[in-house]
Amino acid sequence: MMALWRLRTLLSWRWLLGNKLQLLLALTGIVTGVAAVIAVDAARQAVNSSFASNRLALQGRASHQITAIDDQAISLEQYVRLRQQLADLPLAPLTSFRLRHVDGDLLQMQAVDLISDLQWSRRDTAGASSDADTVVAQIAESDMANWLAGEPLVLVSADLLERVADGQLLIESPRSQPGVPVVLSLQVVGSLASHSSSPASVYMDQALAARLRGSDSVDLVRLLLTGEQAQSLPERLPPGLQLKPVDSGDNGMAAAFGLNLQAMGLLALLMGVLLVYSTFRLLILQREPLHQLRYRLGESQAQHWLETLVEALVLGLIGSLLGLVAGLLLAELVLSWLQQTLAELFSRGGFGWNAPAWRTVALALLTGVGSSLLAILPMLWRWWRSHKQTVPQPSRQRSQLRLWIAFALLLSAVLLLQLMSGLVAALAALFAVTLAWLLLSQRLLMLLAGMLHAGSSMRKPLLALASARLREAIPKMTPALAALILALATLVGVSSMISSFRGSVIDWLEITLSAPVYMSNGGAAMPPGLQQQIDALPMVQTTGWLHALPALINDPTTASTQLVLLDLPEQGQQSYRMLAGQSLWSEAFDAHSAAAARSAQAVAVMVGETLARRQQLNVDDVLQITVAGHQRQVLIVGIYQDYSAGGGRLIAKRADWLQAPQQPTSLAVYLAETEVPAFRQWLNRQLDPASAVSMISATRVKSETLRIFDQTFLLTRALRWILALVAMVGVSGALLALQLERQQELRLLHQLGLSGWEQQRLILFEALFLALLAMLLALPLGYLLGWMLTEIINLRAFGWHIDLTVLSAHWMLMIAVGLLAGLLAAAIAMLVNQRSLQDQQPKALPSAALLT
Amino acid sequence: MIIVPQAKQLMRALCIVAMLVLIACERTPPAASSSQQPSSQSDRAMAMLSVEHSDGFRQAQGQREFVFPKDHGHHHGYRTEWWYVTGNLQAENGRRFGYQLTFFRVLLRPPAQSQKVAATATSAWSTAAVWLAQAAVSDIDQQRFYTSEQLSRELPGAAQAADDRLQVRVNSWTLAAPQTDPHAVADMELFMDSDDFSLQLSLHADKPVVLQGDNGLSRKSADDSDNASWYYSMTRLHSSGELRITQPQSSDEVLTVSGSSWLDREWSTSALNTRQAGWDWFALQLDNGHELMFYRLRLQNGDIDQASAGILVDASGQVTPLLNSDISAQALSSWYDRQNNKRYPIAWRLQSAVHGIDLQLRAMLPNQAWSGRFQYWEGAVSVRGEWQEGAVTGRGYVELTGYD
Repeated sequence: MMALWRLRTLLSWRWLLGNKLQLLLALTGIVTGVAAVIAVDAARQAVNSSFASNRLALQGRASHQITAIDDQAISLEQYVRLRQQLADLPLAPLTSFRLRHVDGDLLQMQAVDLISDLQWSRRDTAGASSDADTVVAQIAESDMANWLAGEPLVLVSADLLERVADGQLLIESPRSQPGVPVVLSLQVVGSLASHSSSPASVYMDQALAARLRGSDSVDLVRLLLTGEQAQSLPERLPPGLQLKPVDSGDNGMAAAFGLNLQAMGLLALLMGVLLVYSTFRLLILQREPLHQLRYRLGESQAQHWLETLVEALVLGLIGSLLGLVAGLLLAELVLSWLQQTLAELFSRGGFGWNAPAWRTVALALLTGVGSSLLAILPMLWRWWRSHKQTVPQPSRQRSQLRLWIAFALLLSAVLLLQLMSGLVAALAALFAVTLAWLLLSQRLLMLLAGMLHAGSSMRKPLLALASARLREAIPKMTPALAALILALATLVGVSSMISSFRGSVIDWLEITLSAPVYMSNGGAAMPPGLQQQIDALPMVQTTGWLHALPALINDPTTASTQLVLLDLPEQGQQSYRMLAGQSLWSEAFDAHSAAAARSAQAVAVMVGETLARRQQLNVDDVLQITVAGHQRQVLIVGIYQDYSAGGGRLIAKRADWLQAPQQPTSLAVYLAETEVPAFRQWLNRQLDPASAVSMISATRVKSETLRIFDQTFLLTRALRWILALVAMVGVSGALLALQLERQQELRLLHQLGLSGWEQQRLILFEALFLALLAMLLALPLGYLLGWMLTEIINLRAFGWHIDLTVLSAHWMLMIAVGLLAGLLAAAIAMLVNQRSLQDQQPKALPSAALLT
Repeated sequence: MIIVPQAKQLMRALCIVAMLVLIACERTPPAASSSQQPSSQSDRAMAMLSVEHSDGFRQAQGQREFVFPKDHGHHHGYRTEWWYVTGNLQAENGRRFGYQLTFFRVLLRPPAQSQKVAATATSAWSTAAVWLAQAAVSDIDQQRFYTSEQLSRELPGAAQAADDRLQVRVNSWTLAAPQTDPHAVADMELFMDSDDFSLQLSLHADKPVVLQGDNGLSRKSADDSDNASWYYSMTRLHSSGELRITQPQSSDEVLTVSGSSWLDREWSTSALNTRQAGWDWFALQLDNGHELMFYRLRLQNGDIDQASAGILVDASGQVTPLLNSDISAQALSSWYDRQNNKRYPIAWRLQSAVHGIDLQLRAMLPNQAWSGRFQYWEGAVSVRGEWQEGAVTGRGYVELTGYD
């Protein structure tokens, strides 16, 4: 029995090995499907890992920091006591201060204890590096002893290199008398890349910092704590010190990018499954005549099914492994191509991916082997239903079933969105809607093909023949076409989402940044009199006043929420795009809401959209908030668009807030754009180096934001092309397989008078018709995906309202890719047909191969 | 010529210098292979310890008078100095433990430059010295090995040693004379604390200080008389105190423990010979009141260095030197350290026909290997055998370096 089974299996393999092109196409289909999934997944993993590294680099490893309660420095005695009491925890001190360069500009000094950082950074072996790690590593390459001794050795940020002459950076001593600067020379032994350090920054050891400042104190001590450690640590702290969590600093844009990559990963998985499914299904269908013959020779359905199962396992396994390699190479190719841009965005450590983990291998096997097995399930189903049925035929019943499943999926997507507010539900709905559309695609394709046939019948016989053949091909081609539809739809959907997001951010920046210059004091109050000095400058038109205070709403998780008190000039009063209610500076507010606020004995506030969504706040809600230990009632009069990260904001007028602080924490300076450099010079001259006041121009904020945005989404744009490319290859393979199956028919047509040229045109028309149908179905699905990504998923994930932008460029892009797919498929099929036409000897039928 | 014990100092020096070499070489591209350049970490460390790198530092040479408690304190001008305590403990419930607590001080610049630093420094942060402290506990019955280490620049109050008495500190880890008698010679207290374990012990010397080598001058090489260190030991310290072991899923275990410890003190500038591949060091405390210390220096070519040596200390504290020819050490079985891909011997036979000694040593826990930056094996052993025609048992500590 076993010998017979082996023989039959061997016969099946003989067919495959005797039809090498079919075997090659089958493997190509599986490989491309798996490769698409793996490429997107590998790229996503690389990006996630790089984001983590980047965040680490920017923020350091610290989860917490210890500071003095009065926000003053930590004295050496306190620091030593900390070291004695917390020896079980690695502590890393950090000191920041500013010194003036001899040309007048202020430079930011950053000091670490090299030895503490060296030990501290060893706690994490993930291979990632923080800013401090880089500094320590670079310093360690030089003479450590000199650094520890407090020699004037420093590293500088790249932008300062132009100010380094003969390896020296000249600064004014902090002990200089007014008008009589004492110049100190710091020896620059290296620099940090521009993307890995803050501008105008100088890095050194604590010993030198102490010498320059004339103080042994440190600003803060960084720690890496578990949740349990963080809970118990405050009790162990010496008096006068406090523990603070480091702001997680989650970059909203990065998170949005990661989420969209996740959605793309899902779509890629679906596409990969479709491609593999399509390939194997075609392989089965191609051998139906052979199967019929063998059935008549006595083979049972069970034997046939077992053989096909083995075949699916073997081909699926080989295709999965090859697809795994191809996918990783593809990801490597894309990442290498984008290396420079991505490295600039992500980290100094470069941008790379690790060796494939078991998870990746499992994903490849799931896609390749799993989808191949999925393709033989219908056969198993039929075998189970009836042992006598020999030829599997697409039935109306199956079509009905698909229809019902599609409607069920659509219904469940609607229910998911209506009943569940989470992100997982939204992603599940996205997946369900996509799957439903693809399940409906065969019916829709047949419908469209029918219309096409009706239209083309009246024109040319060749077109009519092509459209007729197309209708016959659609049932077999549906999975491959579904993959193409999905790829084209992803192209449109993701492009729409990115454009919409970018457009919204640009609009938001344009509206919000009304002043050319913004100044802050690192969260602390501005020096008294500075605003008046600025107001008195002839170049300055006016200033806006801002003071941010930590506010607590309802529960402690909103600890990072800020109450922002504003005193805005007329130029700044339109800086908020209202999504609901009114602006505090609108006329409608003065007339109506101010009275309501008075009657509720509450202060009128506007709330940022992210905070409103997270706390489920609405206009006219009255809230109790705690600010500086005092509870106050606030009335929400409006909700404004807010893309800023963090815990969210409430905005109130300074005049409405009792006992508002005197000094602002930030200033908006209104002046002509051309005056910004002069203002910067004035400010640099004016400021005390010890002060933390800094300024940034609105132009720089906008350009930096958009630069980061574009770099962030560059990979997403590239991955869309991977999906499109893979789908094109997949569809070409499917069309070619179909073409090979129809060689007999073409020969018959040839004998009936259809010339070789007409045959080639017939193939071209068929391929283009297929592409056209795929495009017609991809366009609505693409916009649906774009809408869901923009209006539902981003909104649920981040609380960001984004207006969906529909650009003609998106569907023109899709048409170009669709046409390219059709032409590629046609070109390959025409090439094969051409060779067949040149072949004088008629090829044996596949079944004949077996009989001989 | 008297050949003095030096294995321990070699190991410690290697640890310290390896640390510094790694600091210095951190993240630098690997140097091109060259016959002039040491290829391995050990080689580089040994190269760093050779005489030509010792310029400007004080050398151990001539004669000196040891004065206590002053010599318990740190000595200026030498490149390396360490305080090294190992011991075997037993809890009241019979549970057995081994432990190690070591403090290393490394001077990064020669004294002349260091003095210049001190003279110009306006800050406590300015320093020429770095401290490394390592601690380990072997939980014999639970078959667990815990390690922890602290690294710090010299900073008053945080990492420093007194220079007139025993008072060493790296963060909260301390080895010091009791507060009630800060100038004690024979009494000391140690404390260390980490995530996994903490140890607090009171130590009392049952025997006087043993000066190693030639009245405390321990020569480092039979070939090169310039290589030497100042070296003394306290070979039997009665120990009692408290050991805490963190339990991941329950409350910490706090155990009252007692046992016997061994203190080594050494300061030097040059140490190793580049021909040496590693060493096996044995420090045994026998139940008959004797102590035996022997080290075996292994050369790169597989031979045993003639500088290998040891000492015998009898119950009254009298010292008898052991020459390399007096004693043989044979490895009986080994253990493979998968994590570091190294194979260490874990059972030995020590024989000395001259002194009528035939001892079998067995590691009380196979895995007592340090991982990470420095990889070596140091752990508690049990001893059983013959001592001058009488049966004897005991415990000890063994240190193994340079294994692949």
